[in-house]
Amino acid sequence: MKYGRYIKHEVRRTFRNRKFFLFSLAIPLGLYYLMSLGHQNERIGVMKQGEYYMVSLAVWGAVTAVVAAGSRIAAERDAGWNRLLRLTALRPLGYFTTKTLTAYLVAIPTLVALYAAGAADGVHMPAASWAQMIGWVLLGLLPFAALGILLGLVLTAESMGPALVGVMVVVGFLGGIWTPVESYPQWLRALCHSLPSYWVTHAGQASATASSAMNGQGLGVLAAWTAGIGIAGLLLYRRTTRRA
Amino acid sequence: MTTTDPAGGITLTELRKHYGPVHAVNDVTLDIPAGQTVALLGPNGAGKSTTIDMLLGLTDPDAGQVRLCGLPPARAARAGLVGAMLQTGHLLRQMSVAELVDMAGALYPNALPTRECLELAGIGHLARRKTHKLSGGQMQGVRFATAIVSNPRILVLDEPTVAMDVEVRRAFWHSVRSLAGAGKTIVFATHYLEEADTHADRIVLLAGGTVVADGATTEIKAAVGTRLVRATLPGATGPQMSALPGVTTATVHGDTVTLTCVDSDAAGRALFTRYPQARDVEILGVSLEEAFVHLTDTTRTQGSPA
Repeated sequence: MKYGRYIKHEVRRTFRNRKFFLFSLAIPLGLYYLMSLGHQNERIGVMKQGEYYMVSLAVWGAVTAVVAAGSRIAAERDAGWNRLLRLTALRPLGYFTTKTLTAYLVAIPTLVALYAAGAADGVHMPAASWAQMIGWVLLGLLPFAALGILLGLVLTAESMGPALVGVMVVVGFLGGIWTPVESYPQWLRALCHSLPSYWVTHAGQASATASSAMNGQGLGVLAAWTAGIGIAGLLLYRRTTRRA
Repeated sequence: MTTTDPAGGITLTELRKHYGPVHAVNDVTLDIPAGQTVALLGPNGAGKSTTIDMLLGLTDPDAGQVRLCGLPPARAARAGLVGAMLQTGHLLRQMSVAELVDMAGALYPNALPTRECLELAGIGHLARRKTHKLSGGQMQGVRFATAIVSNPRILVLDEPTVAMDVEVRRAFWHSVRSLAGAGKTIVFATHYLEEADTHADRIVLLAGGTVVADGATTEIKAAVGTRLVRATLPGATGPQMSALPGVTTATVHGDTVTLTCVDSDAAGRALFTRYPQARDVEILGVSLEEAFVHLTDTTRTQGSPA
């Protein structure tokens, strides 16, 4: 990896920021216990409650972790770091790649923590289902990694906090983290199905019940959002490294 | 000496940049051969930072061309040929000094080993210090280290000594001089004439976005003039006064005329001969600093008809 040493420093720097783990790890983990403890075997649709919240809150925490990459980007821009980057060999695509990889690496502890908590609590899945779930969730995080970068390039460090909370609320509600979107009215369900938040959550949930996790529509939605947000971000990157 | 070495020189050709009606930089042409140390000298608002931003490719000029080592700025930067210490911003947090410099170095093709870079920048003793526990001068030292970590051919320093105390400043210039000795092309912006005088081979004096003087330090001193002749002379005009022998610039405020002179004897004699009504004549020796302030003020006054 060409910029491996750069990514290593980025990840280490992020892990040193304790506040970061409040949102991406402590809150999802705490909510998991709050929602499922003592109710593991009650049903939400076809899923056991323990499974449902393990899968959903792992997605929710991981989405939060990758979008929170934007907070670091906003702070780096504030520090004039992006101007310095312009004077390095790092090109825009390299910037996006390193930022995305960093965001993923930083999201991994959240997935591990939630899955470990679930497994310890009696969630049982065949190895193939675990693998399928993790694979789809990682793919489904891609538009959110792009969103984090875009927000970081547009917003100030101060406004990133509220924006992140906003994303967490929207993803929680429209993604079906708290209750299945199947219980929503028809029009709202249609909206949910057009957003990546639904598909990343659904892919995780469906993998756990060994039903069909992804389809053409889902892949199309994920690809379209990733491409749209990614291209907007690339165009903005050039602009934001300049002095206004 | 005056031809550009494509391997390490800088060429700015008729650079222009305006922000709305303000001409930040207006027709700046400079040819800096490889290995030269050049001071961009001028007061705030003279166009130093805008010139530097265009030189580095951080701002696109409205017109004109920049070549670094014969390349457009973006390509020179990608090749790791350019290092810059910029004025804006602070340091990334949650890192030690050595980590920050190492992180920057990871983005260049031929970076210096981090340890060597820190020593070269004179901040080896700060390697393990957290970036948020540094004084202003130490932060400047770290910025300097990130500027040289790529082992660049061209080094650009925008007001590098701001916030440095005397000790740090001395160590800093020592490092810069050793880099100059190693053949780097160095451009630094400053509004301290003394720094330009001491550390540059050549001074480019900017005012109102244009080059008002360009030459060796001694030439600049001669061109600027270091004596003032002041007199009370009702009805005098700027052009009349500027035309007097030995005068570089003249200002007229009400009845008071102030002449900056390279030859105050000639100027004084001519003043009395041509304008016998002149009175209260004083001849003052001024520091180069004062002469320079006077010169750049005058240029600005002439530049804007208001």
